[in-house]
Amino acid sequence: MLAYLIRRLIAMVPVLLGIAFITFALISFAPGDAIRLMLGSESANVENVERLRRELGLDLPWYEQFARYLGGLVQGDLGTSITSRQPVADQIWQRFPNTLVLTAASLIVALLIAVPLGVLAAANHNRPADYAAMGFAMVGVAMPNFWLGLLLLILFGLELRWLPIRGIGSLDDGLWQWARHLILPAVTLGTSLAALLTRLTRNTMLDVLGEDYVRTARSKGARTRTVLYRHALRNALLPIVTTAGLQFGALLGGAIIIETIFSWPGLGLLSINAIRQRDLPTMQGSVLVFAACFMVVTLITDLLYAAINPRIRYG
Amino acid sequence: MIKARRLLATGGLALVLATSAVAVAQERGGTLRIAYTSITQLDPYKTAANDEINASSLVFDSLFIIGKDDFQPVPHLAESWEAIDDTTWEFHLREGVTFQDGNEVFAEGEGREVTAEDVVYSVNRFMEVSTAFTLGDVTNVEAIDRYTVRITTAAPDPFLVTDVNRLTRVVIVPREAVEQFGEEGFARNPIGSGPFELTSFTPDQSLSFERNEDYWLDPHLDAVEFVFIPDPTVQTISVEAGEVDIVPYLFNIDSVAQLQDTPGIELYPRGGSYRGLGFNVTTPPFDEFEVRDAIAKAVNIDAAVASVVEPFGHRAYGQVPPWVDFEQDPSLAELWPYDPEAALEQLASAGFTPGADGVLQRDGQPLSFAIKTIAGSQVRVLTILVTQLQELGIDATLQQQDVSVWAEDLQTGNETGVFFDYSFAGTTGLYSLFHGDNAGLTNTHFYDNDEVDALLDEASRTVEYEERNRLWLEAQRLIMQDRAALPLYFEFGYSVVSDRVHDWVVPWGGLHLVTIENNVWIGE
Repeated sequence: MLAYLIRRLIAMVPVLLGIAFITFALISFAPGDAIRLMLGSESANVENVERLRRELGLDLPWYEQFARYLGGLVQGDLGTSITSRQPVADQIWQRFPNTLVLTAASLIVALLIAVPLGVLAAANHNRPADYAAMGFAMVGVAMPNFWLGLLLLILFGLELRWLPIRGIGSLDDGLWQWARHLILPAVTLGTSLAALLTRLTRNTMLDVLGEDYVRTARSKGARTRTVLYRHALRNALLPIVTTAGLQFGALLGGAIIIETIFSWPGLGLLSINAIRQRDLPTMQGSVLVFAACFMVVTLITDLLYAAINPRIRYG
Repeated sequence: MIKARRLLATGGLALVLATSAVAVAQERGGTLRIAYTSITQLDPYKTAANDEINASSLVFDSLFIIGKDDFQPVPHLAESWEAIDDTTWEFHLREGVTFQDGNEVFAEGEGREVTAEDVVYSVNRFMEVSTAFTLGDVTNVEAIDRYTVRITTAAPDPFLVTDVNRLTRVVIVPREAVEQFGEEGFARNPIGSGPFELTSFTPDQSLSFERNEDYWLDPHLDAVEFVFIPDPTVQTISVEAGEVDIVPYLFNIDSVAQLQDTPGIELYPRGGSYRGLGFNVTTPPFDEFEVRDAIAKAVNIDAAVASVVEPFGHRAYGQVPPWVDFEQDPSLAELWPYDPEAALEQLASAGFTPGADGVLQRDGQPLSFAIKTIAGSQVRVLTILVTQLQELGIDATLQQQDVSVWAEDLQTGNETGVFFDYSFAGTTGLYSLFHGDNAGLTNTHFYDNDEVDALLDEASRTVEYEERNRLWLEAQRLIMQDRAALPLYFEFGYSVVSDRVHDWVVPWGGLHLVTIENNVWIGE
């Protein structure tokens, strides 16, 4: 198990290097750059901007810039932001926990909605509860999350005034105050995943409910609840966990939009600002952290398999 | 519109009267909450971003500010100034102003007095590190005595004090703080002489200030909090919800239209932006005057502007906006008649005839171009214009791009030759957009007319207002006669202000909450 874990972690290094290379090349060849944006400003100081370009090494060919970047990277230096001129690593570490909290909360929201609803739908196959659950799944997937976010914000923040509409709460104000800030963004971000997982849970459950061992359990006289949760759900969980893990990447992507709407000071917002201003080091740093994050979650998903299904062993 | 010019500002008896007149019902106390999109650092010299400039201008003072009513300089740290000769300005500092105390640099009660040496240090540091703004050709800055500074320029330079992007940007910073914290540290721990002191700062998360009890004026507000709201729609919703009091800048005619009838909210207009069509005069076929002129005649700009922009902007006939230190030239309107038939005739005589598909062409080359634009009200205006061009058989399309992509395309020569033309419309916009020296930087027209350059250069050196104005407008007329650009409209900018806030002045070269002109306060 430990050997497996180490192998997986080592395998991440070349993947990250590859990602660094690809994003660096893509960004370098994409049109638009930060220095040009500065020079285009009506009052720019051309001389000082050109000096900044040299100081940041932006006048070098892209492969030389990449070599420099890698040199810094192995020392844990993600470079300096072109626009704020603060270390990229500082900016990322300041925001990364916020994004992690938001996406984790969304994942939990999604699972809390999807699993009971999917089980309910499967247990009431082709009855009103099933149709209602599938209706939710349809709407939830179809609704763009920025739109849902604005609707929730206007309803719960502006009209009803139940929940704060922006920002992150401070734990100093108590757990509830902190959680209140999290509710709207987490629900918004989690909804489409919840919809997807509801459908998946229902279908997997329907498959499993037709299996012999379920029939056996029923014929022994086990209670419906026991059959559903002990026998069927346990076996249906595997694809749900896999999908939830893989969809974590989509959550990170969605966080970019949700963080903007709910003023959530996370990594998504940092990267979108960096993209707008062509702040190359910050873009690059954010992509790397996103990628590393995705790989770690995939690893955790794989490890969870073993926990859920004892037949799976890693060695 | 000829105004009395006040180049030589004095202590200003009129201004003293003005402030005491409104001082009746004002209340002291309260926290002002201002929405912002992104603030990652607070060094006032290292940013062009409005949010960061607004925040840092609470901590720092400039020598003078640009006045709220007529865009003329108004005394601030400098009580007065005068031109000693054509190239030398002398500034007289207010005595007894101190840097903020109770911090790592100046212990409580030990805020050092701001002196002429601080101005010298600041001007030099500004010239060295500022990327966003340039002071021009300053050859010498020296302290004559403790409260007198002389700034010498290579040539006469009236814009140094009238342009919002020049000396007003040089807020005074204490050398000790920059040296003690280092460049990077100073950007997180700014210390100046301004009305508010920084109390907490986490980039893009929290930012707050409290009253500087030793300030040379008496700020009404206890505290100012900057509230992080990156989405512009959510910013205006937050004012409606009472979560913030101010959105400093709103450039969105839909939001403005919606907010103008919202109870509890007031819109404060000030300044705005110039929006037009630009031609790259080196790109065929727009290197031909006849073609540019025909395009200008082919579009009904009045109708498009009236249906999309008004009343939140109005038609522009030149680039010089109504709010800068130059007059308007009403005769420019005659340059732009809407006459599609004449346009077609002119294109025909230039060799463009309808092809089999109905598209005008010359030597087998269709008259076909994509107008590159960025998001904004102009997208709708340009859509109307493009439709009009298409009806005449010109294969025009509109292509919306990301700002940095658009900027790079324009600067590297814009292969299509027609583009959305934009400026924030400061005093010297004409110089930035059309002077040959700026070709490929801010002059994306690649317009290079020696006569125009000479006029603009001459105007930039002319201290006497009437003559400067005449030269400037003459340059504008030549540029417009050449059809280097097709002006469309000026869009107004606004602050969105909760009605509990009083005496707000829309930021112009910095956010000014406490000056001899105004002192923001909160009522119920």
